Amino acid sequence: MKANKTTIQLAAVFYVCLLGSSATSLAQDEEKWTYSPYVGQDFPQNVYFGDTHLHTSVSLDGFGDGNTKIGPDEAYRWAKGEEMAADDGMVTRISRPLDFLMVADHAEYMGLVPGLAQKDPTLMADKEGARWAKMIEEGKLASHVFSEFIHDVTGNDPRIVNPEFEMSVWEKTIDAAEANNEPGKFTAIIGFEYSPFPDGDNLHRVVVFRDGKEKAIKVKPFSAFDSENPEDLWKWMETYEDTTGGRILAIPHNGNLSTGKMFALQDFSGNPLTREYAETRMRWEPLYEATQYKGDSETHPYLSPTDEFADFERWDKANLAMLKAHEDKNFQFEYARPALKNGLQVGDTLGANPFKFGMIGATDSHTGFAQTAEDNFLGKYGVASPNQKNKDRWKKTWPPVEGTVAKMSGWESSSSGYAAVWATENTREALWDAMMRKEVYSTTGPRMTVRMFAGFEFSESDAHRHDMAAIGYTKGVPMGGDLNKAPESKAPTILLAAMKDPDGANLDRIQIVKGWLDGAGKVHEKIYDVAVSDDREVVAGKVTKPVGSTVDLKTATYTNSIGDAQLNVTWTDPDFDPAMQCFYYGRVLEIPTPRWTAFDEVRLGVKMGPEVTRVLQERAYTSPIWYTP
Amino acid sequence: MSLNPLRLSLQNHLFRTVATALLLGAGSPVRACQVCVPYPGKSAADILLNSDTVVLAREDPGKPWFYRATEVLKGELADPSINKSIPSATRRLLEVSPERSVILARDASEADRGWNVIAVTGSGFEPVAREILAREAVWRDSPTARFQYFAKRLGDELPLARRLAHLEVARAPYREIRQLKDSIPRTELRAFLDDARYVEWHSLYILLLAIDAPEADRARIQEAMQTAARFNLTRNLAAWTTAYIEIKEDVAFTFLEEHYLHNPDRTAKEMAGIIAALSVCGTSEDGEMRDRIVKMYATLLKSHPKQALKVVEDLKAWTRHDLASEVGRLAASRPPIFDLTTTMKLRAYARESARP
Repeated sequence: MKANKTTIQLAAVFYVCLLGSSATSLAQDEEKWTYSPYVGQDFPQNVYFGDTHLHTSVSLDGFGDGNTKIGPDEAYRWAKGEEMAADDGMVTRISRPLDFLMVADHAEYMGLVPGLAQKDPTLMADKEGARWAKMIEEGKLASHVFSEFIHDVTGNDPRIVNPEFEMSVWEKTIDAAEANNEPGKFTAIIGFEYSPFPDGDNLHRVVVFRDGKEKAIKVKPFSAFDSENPEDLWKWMETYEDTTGGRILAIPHNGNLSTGKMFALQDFSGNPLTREYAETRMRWEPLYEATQYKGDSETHPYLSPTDEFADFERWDKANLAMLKAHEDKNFQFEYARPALKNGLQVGDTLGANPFKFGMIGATDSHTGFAQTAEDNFLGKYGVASPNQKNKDRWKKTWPPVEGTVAKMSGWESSSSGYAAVWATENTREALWDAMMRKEVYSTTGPRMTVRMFAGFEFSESDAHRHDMAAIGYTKGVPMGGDLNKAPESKAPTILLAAMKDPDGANLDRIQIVKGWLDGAGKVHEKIYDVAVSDDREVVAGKVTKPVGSTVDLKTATYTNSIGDAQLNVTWTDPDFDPAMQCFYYGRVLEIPTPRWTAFDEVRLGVKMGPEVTRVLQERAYTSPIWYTP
Repeated sequence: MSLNPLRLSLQNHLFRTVATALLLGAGSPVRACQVCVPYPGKSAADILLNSDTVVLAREDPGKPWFYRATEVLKGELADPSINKSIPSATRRLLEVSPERSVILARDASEADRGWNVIAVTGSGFEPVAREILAREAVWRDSPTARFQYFAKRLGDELPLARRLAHLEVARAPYREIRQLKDSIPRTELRAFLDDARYVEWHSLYILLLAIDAPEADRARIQEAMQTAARFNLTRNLAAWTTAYIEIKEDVAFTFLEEHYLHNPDRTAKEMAGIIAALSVCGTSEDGEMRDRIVKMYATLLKSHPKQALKVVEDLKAWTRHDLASEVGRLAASRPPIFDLTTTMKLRAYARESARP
C-alpha cells in the first residue's frame, strides 16, 4: 500500500507537473495569439502629403519679387491652415493643411536682403552692407541692389561674406522648423536649396535633413558660392554625416531647364560616368522632383511621341536663365523617363545605375505659401499674386529683362506639385526614411492615394482585397523597390490601387509606364492603360475612348459625373522577357478639371488668349520598381 | 530655381561675355566697342544673314511636334520637312492661330547646320526680317549702312526689333556709338538706367548718357565712378569709366590714376573694366588721347604688372613701342610672374619694339 501510495503521490506530482507544464504552454500560446490581425505590422499605413521645396522671404528672389512678409515661421503656420496676408494685404489660406513641409530657402545670400532691409547690426558694420541697406531704404532694391547681388552670385564672388550673419539666419530657419514640428501631427523638416546654374543651366538641389537642430546647426548650408559642382555637395553631405552622425539627402529638380546637364552621361567636368559616380549619386540623391511650377519633367512629346499625355505643363523653350534656346539633342538628358531608361543602359555598363531615382513633386513657391490647388493659385512669386490690381498676371512675361532668347508668360506657370510619402508615422525620421527607400510618389497637386507593389506571386484578386497592402509587402515589393531573377515562366505582376483625392476629381485611368533595355543594349518604353473608369474597354493595352470632360469654363467648374472614385488593378506584364532589365512606374490620371487660368478668367474677369491652357488632367507618378535579371 | 533666374543669369552672361571678350579678344585690333559687349553675341540679323535658308514654318501635319516649311524666304529647300521640334506653348499658339508661322533660319556656318527660331509671325517682326534679308547685299558692302539702319530702331515700339537694334548697335565701334546722341531721348535713357529689366543694356545707355551730357547726367556719371572706386564695384565699370572720360577727360584721367592705376589693391576685375575703357578711348580714330593713355599704361604696369598682356596688345595695335623696356623687364622677372605663353608674347613685343 505504501508503495501504491507512493506511486499515487508520484503520479499526482507528475500529473500536476504535467498540468502545470500544459497550462504554462497554453498561457504562452495565449499570449502570442491575438484577435487583431494588425499586431506586428510594421509597414507604412499612411500616406502623408507635403512640400519639400518652399521659399520664403529669406530667399533672395523671394523677398525681391514681392514676398517681404512670409518667412519660415509664417510659412509653416500657413501650411498648417492658418490664415495670413501677404505683401498685397490679401488674406489667403491653404485649401487643406499639409502633413509636412520643408522650407528650402536658397543657400546663396540666405537672408541677406531682409537682413539689410531690417538693418541687421552685423551687416551694417560692413561698408557694403550699409551702402546696400541705404539703397534699399531709398527704394532702389530692384533697380540697383539686385543687379549687384546678382553680379556677385553669378560670378561666384560673394561681396558680403559674413559667417556670423549667415549662421544666425540658418539658426532662425532651423528654429522656425523646431517650433512648428509636431511629431505625429505636422512635420517641419529642416533643409535648404543649393542653387548653382552654370551658364544659366539649372543644377539645383534641395537638401533634406533627417535631423533636428542639434545636428543641423553644426553646418552652414552649402551654396553655389562654395562650388557649382553637385559632386562637391555630395562630399559636403558625407562630411556632415561623418561629423555629426546625422542623415541627409538631396533632391534635384528642373532637368527640363538644364541644357542636358541634369542627367548627362558625363560628370560635371565632362568625364565619362564611373561606377563610383553612379553609386555616390544614388547614395545622396535617391529622388527627383519631377513636377513643380517651372514645368513638369516626366517626359516630353519629342521623347514619347505616342504618349498622348506627354504634353503637360511643359517648359521647353530654353534653359533656366532663358539665355540658351533649347536644342532637341538635350531632351533625353533632361526628363525623368529617359533618364530612368538611360540609367538601365549606363548601369549595365558600369555595374551601378546612376539614375535609379524615385519621384516626388514640390511647389518651389517663393511666396511662403505651399499651395497647389488650381482654384487657389496664389502665384509662385509675390508679384504674381492674384489681387485685383494684378489681373493681367497671366500675360506678364518672365524674365522681365532684355537679352534673353525666350520668355515665359505668366500663364505657363504650373500650380504644381506635392510629395506623397508612405511612412510609418508622421515624423522627420519616418518621412526621411521613406524618401530614402523611395516609397514616395509625386502629384501635380491633388492628394490622390496611390499604392503600388510588384511581385511574381500575386493573384488576380489581390488588388481587390481589403488587406492589399499586407499582401503587397508579403508577396512583393512597394514602389521604389527591386525585383530580381524572375522565377521560371513568371512575369512581374503589379498591384496598383488609386483613390481619388477626397476633395478632388474622379480618376480617368491608371497607366503602367515600362522602360526596358533590350539584348542589343537599346532602351525602349511602352505605356499600358491597365485600369480605366466608366467601364470603358481596353484593347491591347489601350483604352478605346477618352474619358470626356465636364469642365464648364464659364464657371470654372466640373462634376464627378464621369470617372471613377477608385481604381484597383492586378496587371501582369504581357511582354516580359526575364533576361532584360526594366522598370515600371504607375501614372494615375484624373478626369479633366479647370486649370488656374480658368479660375482667373472667372474670378478676375480677364479674357486670355486662345493659346492659354485652361483645362488639365492632374496626375500622379509613382516611384518606379526595377527588375534586374 | 530656384534663384529667380530673371536677373541673375543676365548679369552673369554680361560679365562673362565682357570678360571673355577682354581676355580673348583683346589681341586683335580693337574694332568693336568693348565696353558694352551685348549678349547674346549673335543677333537675329546675324543669323538671318548667315543662313543659307530661311523659311516660314508651321507644324507638320504628318509629323506632330515638328516643323514643316510653308514658304521659303531665302535659299532653297528640297524637302519641306524640318527636323526640329516645336516648343509646347508655340505649338499651342500655332494651333489656335492658323495665320501665324514661325520664322526659321538654318545657319550655314554651324557644323550641324541646325535650325534657329527667329520669331513667331504676328508679333510684327516678319516685315523686319524680310527687310533685313532684302538689304543683305547692301550691308555686305557697307557695314555702316547696317549700323545706321538699326540705330534708327533703338527706340522701336516692337520689342523684338528694339532688342535686335540694341545688339547691333552695342557692338559698333565707340566712334559710331558717339554719333547716336539723339537716338534715344535723354529722359528715356535715364528711365532705362533705373530699370533693372534693362540691366543687360545699361552699358550702352551709360555711353549714350555721356554724350553731350547736361550737368545732371555729368553729376550722375561722376558719382557712379566715385561710388565704384569707393566700394570696389565692377558692374558696368568699363562703361562708367568711358562715360567719365567722355565728360571730363582730364579730371577722369587724374581720378583713374589716383584711384586705380597707382593702387595695387585693385582687383583684376576692376582693372579689366578700367583697361577696357582706356583701350576704347585710345583706339579712337584721331588717337588724340593715345599719348596720355600710353603714359597711364606705364603707371599701370608698375602697380598691376599682371595686366601687362592687355596693355601690350593695345600697344601693338597702336604701334607704340614706348613701353618696350618696362615690358621687357617684366617678362624677365625672377621668379616669373607670367605663364610661358604670356612671357613669350611680352618678349616678342619688347624685341620688336627694340628694333631700329
